[in-house]
Amino acid sequence: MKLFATQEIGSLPKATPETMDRWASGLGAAAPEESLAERRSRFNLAFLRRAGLDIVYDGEAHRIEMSEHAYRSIRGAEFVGHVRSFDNKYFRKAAIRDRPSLLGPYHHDEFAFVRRTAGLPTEALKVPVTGPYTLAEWAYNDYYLAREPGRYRRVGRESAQRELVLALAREVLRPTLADLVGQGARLIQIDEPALGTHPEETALAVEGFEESVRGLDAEFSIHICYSDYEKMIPAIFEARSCREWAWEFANREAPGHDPYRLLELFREHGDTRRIGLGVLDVHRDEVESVATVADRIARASRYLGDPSRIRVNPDCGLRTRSWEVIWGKLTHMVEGAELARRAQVG
Amino acid sequence: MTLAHRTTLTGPFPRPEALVKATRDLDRGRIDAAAAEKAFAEAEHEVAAVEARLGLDCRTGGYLRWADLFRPFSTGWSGVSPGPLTRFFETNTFYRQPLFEAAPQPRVGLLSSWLPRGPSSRAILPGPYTFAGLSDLRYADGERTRAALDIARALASELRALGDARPPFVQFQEPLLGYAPFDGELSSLVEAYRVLAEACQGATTAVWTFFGDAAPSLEALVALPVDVIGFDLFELELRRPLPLRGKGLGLGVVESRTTLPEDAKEISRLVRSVEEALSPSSVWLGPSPPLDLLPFDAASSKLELLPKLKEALSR
Repeated sequence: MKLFATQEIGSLPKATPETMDRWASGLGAAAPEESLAERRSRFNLAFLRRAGLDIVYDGEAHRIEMSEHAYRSIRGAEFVGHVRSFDNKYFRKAAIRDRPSLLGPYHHDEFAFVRRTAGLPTEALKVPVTGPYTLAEWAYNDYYLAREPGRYRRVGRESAQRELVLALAREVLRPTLADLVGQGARLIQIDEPALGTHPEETALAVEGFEESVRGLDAEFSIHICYSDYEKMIPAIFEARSCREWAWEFANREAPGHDPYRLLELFREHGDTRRIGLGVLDVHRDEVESVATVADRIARASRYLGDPSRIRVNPDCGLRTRSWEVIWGKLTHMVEGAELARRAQVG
Repeated sequence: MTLAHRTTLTGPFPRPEALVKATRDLDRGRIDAAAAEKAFAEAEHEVAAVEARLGLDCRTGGYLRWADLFRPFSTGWSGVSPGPLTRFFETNTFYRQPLFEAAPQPRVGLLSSWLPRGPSSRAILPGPYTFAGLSDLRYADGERTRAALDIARALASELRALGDARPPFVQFQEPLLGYAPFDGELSSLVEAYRVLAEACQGATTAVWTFFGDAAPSLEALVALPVDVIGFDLFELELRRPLPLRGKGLGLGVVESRTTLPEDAKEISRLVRSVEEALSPSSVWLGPSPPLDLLPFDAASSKLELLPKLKEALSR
């Protein structure tokens, strides 16, 4: 893969048929028998490729929400109703009522469709998969809590949580990942956004990750965002099977604060793995200039001391932005990476 | 002396599924504002019915219209506006971070449309320490202490403006005092609460903590001029007895992090042990953290603990 290869990292908005029609020129026509999810998947793949990204997926077009999608395929989990996320937005929350096990690998059809539709080598497709720690955090852990004698104390809750994380890793994540690897997936990104709220539980998240990927032959990365990374270091480095850290940086850019300086810690701890460098703030409509993107990559290269270990991506999924803003951000990201590449190569 | 145990909701209640649907439909343009208003009114009746059925001593109506703890103020006051979506402590829920460009100027009369009314109604408001601590302060050099005092003054103006419509119970939410030990200037926090206490004369006032163990902040909490201090029973780790010095005790005993029902016998034992350590003058029992982390049916079902617990503790 070339220096500063660009990649997507998460979900995109659910495009309406009108949006897809509006952007359709050059994005390929939908097959008449396709479902709306498949049409969106095809649209997103073409959108990302046209923006110039080197490594893509389909913007999670087949998934409703990153935990609900998984819990629909987990025996022992039961949806108990809606919880408000913010304003008038809600998510369906599951309760673990029995020992969790997999009903069927829930990314199988999605990956088969993406692979067939994208027509790209599997090295250019990165599958995002919700990790066991986040799945556990975003459900009610009733089953293990009920068996925990100390459930009314924090230490009891933590013990029950560990049991759930490891059960999900062994019984749900590992067979799901094995199915993807069996289909030819090479790049798999394990998403652990919930770790951002509990950096003190990094060791548990690492344990869950290692249990999930044990014995599987693929390149695994870990995506964490909006976290105090310094609190996770060095515990996070114990995730020996991880080949890339895909973290958010651009959101923290502020006068007098250079978030990319964090990369110096990788040198200090002797961690030589790849970085998925967040260069786009996905929470703002303001489109980063090409020069800003190139500057962020250049700074990160200096702090890391090895530009060849950097891949370039948005901080997180762009699903909350408009298609026009997404287009502007992604095309500038691609151009900024090219500018930084030329500067490096000379 | 036998302690009286009273029960109440301590924060927002989840929206019933019918209201979930109505608000989604409103956002998608499928129903109009009048239909949404009808759904809100029906949902508030539904929560009031739960409160009545369980014999709760305070009525809240569930605070179903509040988008988050700060929104009535960040949209209603001048000097502050709602900022970016921000995670609310360690939950999968979000609030719009208040963005202060200047000291807040209250819009007197604002609260009358946001609070329940009646002889047992309970106002649940953001505490100034948490309000300032969770905001983006772009004035006063970002100094949290000064902002907390400014916020307290603005809240006090709003409370005074309510006149006779002010609820007889006023609770200030201070989850930040549970989440992390108090690290500010105590005299300033006491001053902020003195301003609030003056505006609440004749009411029972409470500071309620959750999202962590507030024991490290206990001495600061006891210094505040309020009647009741609330704790999360499931987080509280009392290392030594520390009397509340005449204050009442609030305890969050209905756990919103699981749909499992609590065991009344075991919880009553834990409540007794906290009472022994803190020697309160009165006891309020409720959920902790607020029940809006659960779906409506689960929350309603779990609240059944409160009358059972009251009964068990009265023996």
